[in-house]
Amino acid sequence: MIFFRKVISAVLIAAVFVTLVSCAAPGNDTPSGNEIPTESGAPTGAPDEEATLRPETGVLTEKPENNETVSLLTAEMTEWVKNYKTGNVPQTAQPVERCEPVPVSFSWHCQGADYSTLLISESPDMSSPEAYLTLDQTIEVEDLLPGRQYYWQVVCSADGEKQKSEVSSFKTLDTPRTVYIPGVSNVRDIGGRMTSSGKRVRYGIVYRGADFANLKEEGIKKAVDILGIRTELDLRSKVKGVRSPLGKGIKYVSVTAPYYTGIASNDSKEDLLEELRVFCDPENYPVYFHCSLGRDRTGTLAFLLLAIAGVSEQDVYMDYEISFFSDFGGYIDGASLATMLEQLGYLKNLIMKDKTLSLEENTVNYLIAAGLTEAEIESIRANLLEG
Amino acid sequence: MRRIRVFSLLLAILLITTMMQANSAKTGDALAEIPYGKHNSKVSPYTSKKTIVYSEEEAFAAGVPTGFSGYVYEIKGDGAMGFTVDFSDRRLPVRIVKAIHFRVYYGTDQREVRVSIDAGVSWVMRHEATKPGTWDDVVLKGENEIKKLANEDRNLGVFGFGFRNNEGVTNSTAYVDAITVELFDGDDVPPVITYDGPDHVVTTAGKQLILPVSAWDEGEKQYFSVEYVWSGDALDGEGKMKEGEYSVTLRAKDSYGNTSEKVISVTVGPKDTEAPVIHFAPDTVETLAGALPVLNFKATDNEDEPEITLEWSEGALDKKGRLNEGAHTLTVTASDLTGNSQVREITVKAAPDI
Repeated sequence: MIFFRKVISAVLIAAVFVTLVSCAAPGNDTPSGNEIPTESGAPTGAPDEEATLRPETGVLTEKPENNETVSLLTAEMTEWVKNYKTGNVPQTAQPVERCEPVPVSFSWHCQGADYSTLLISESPDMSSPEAYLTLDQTIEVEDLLPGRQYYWQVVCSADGEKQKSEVSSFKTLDTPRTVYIPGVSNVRDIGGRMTSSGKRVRYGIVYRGADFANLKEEGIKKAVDILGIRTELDLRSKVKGVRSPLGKGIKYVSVTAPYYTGIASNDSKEDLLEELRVFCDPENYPVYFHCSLGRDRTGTLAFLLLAIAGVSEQDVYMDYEISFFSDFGGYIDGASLATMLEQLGYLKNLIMKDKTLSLEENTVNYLIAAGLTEAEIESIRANLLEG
Repeated sequence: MRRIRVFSLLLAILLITTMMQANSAKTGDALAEIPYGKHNSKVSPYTSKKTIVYSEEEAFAAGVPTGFSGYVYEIKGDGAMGFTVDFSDRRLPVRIVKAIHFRVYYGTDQREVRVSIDAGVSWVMRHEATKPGTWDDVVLKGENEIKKLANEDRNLGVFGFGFRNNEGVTNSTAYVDAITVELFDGDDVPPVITYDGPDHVVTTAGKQLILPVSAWDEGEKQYFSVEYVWSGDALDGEGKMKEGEYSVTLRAKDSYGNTSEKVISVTVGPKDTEAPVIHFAPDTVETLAGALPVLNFKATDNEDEPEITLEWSEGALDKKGRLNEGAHTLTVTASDLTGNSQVREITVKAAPDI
């Protein structure tokens, strides 16, 4: 699932500005672009060394460079993942969404090309590629997956003649996968993490995030048409007669979800089981689950799901802490990361009744004692893990 | 000059709005609209069995505990109950709101009242029922707290009052009275107009004139919109310029009514009739079926930066916006500000192989 996001605002602003100036002062032919006029009026500047190396015919792939590794996270989050230590999320003074994914920039050179088709595949023979038709020789692609080897190639058309580039390759850094849904904060895919079984959690089947209060048409399109979400699991409170803002075809399940040690409350038992049972039915996937901020109730459920799947404790905590890179999770109610990690620690202690067993084993034992069956645990695992 | 303005909620229009919202929470169908309704209200368990807004006279007749000052909200419910108010029509920027005052009367079986845009889930403030059986004055203040009650326009919008009752309580009653908004002191300094253009502007007929102008108000730390006040009959029915000589007064007003102006002259010449030119040679484009078209066509014009629109023939794109297999027509239109346009029809062939 690859999706392109246009970045046109700056271009539009620039266009309006140019229009206004030209309206206001017609005939004022000042130089534009990057040309620096000399006294004689001729452009100057250093020769474009890259241009002299470019072929006059054929297609040359430029970025990403062959065998390059690119991160799909911001530089700040990439460093955080590389040097991960619990409780070490850098904070900013003002709320800023810092967990949005970073698209991969592609560029190539084809002299005189009228248009190009960019092909991206996970196979060196370029089978089953994702394709992009563009008039430019640069494009930004989002929704690539972390921890993957990709191959890419460009087919250009110049004066009706097709020209194909060599196949180039790049890797994406193996990080958590954050996701952009316009109007929704704190979104990520819980997939991609390695588990005790040697299998990874599948990408593209379980998304977590904040609520849909600011969701607009563009966001609905992304969630439904691109991510393919089939079920909205709303953890805020159990309500009747409500339907998902994603549309009529989307299954809506609501529970008054417990969070942190609240899962131990007898009053919350049915809600706990109901939210987990959503993940037993393969027909429900892909699932988007959320509370208001996507941190506490959502974080508790993500903790349980990842633990059932056999994800390491470090990766479970990393998934939780990403909320503190979002404008919602880390700021809106003034809760500090240290305080909330303390709450998560209490949850872990509640579950880790037998210190000789793993988090996965203890979580399974806890949930079976709470009323989930072994068959239900197995169905959740089967749905979450790669085949 | 210091000015403190207090807006009261005792307007009939607001009263009606609030009563409608309270009523709408009673039925299942209406409830379905609450989480994602026009005010972005979220799911809240704080729906009341009944909310009544009494006039002063009615309140006396209904036996509301004395001590109220005007219209009174009576809220009845079980474990949790509440109501919402809507300030949107008042268009009050939250940055000029200093505090929200209200009075609350708890019964003996209530624990607290919460105020927020989502009182069932979170709260901006919570006030504990320390004095049951009396009217208690409550103030919600603080820049960060008030900001959280903003709507999409950054104005004070819809927000709720949610009561938490003691465990097991049914048919509980509480009252809220005198919800008022206190604004910050005003200033008497007008916004500063910054105009990045010549004092005499030359343009052509048939266009809307948008000038590079902005207005910054240091006191309120924000930009205000600039109004164009034209001399004579400068605009046609669509707001486009007519040929002639004019002056335009650029006027900006801050939240407290302080006003700045700047006057410039405008010469409007005859209408431009030259269409933009689209810079794309091929009549046919060949690509892979399933490709996502990301087509930034370029066009130039003798006067303007043309606007470019794309229209695909029916069935060209799937729901993800990718090209279905087959031959499709893409209509590219480049238009200038006067309305002159060039239209190109391009055949896009999407095949299984490339």
